[in-house]
Amino acid sequence: MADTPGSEDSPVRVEVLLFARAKDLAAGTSSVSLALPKGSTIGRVREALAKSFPALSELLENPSTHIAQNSEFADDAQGVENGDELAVLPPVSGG
Amino acid sequence: MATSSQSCHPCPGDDSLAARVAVGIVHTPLDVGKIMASVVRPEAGGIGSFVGTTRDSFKGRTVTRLEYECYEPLAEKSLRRIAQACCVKYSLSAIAIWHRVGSVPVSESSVVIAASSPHRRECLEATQAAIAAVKAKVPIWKSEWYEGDDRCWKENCECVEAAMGDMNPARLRKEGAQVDVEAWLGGPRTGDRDMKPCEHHHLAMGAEA
Repeated sequence: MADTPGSEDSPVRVEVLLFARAKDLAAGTSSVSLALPKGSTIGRVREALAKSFPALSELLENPSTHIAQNSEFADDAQGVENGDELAVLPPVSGG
Repeated sequence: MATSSQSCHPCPGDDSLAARVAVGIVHTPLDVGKIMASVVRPEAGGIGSFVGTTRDSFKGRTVTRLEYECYEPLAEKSLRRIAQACCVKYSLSAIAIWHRVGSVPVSESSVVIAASSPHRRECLEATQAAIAAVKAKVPIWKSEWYEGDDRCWKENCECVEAAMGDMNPARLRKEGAQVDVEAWLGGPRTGDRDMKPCEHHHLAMGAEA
């Protein structure tokens, strides 16, 4: 399968930033590099992350957890490009 | 930007908007007086403000501090768009939204919002709408630290409600005069629970001249 995270021949590599509870659940990891098949979506990134960090699964399925793409809010249906900076945004608590 | 005419500008152009809006994320204590002073305009007759401070307890537990982290590029962009949306919706003279990140000890301020307008109502309503949007959508997170160095990540109820209703990523991307006011400040759902007590609130209101 070419869609295994980290596989050699995957054409799209993205950097995913983890914040707050997401970082804690990933044992303090603040950034992870993922390799995905061409044509992957943000939704696919959620799946790949959950596979790499099972402890993150529940948070990634939370409707209040959003994903940012290149410092903008993104929909799950959006495609990802090589070199994108993504970010997992758990439910926010500013103010 | 101050105008000498009496006419209304419900949809000011980008240049005008930029001069009315100031936002920022800082790692040092916030100067409430300076932020209040920054929205003073000759045509404004009132300043509304909100200051969020660290409370010393939560459900009977002693809180020693809050620690904030943020995704800074998107957090700052979000604060700017909220400020722009408030300017457009409430025809403000000026608005400032500043958020502190890092460790914030008890009684110190984490967020300061100040808005000015020709008359009282708009600046007070804008202040309330701005803090509600900040708590619902801006990528900033706080952990509450208790005695004994135990801690807990917080989640704002505004954020959970937004995910059920008006959180629409595509609509949150517009800037300037084109900013999607409803996407940021919400429709009826947001208005319905505007005054519901939730999280730490310290409301201070400026005097109307």
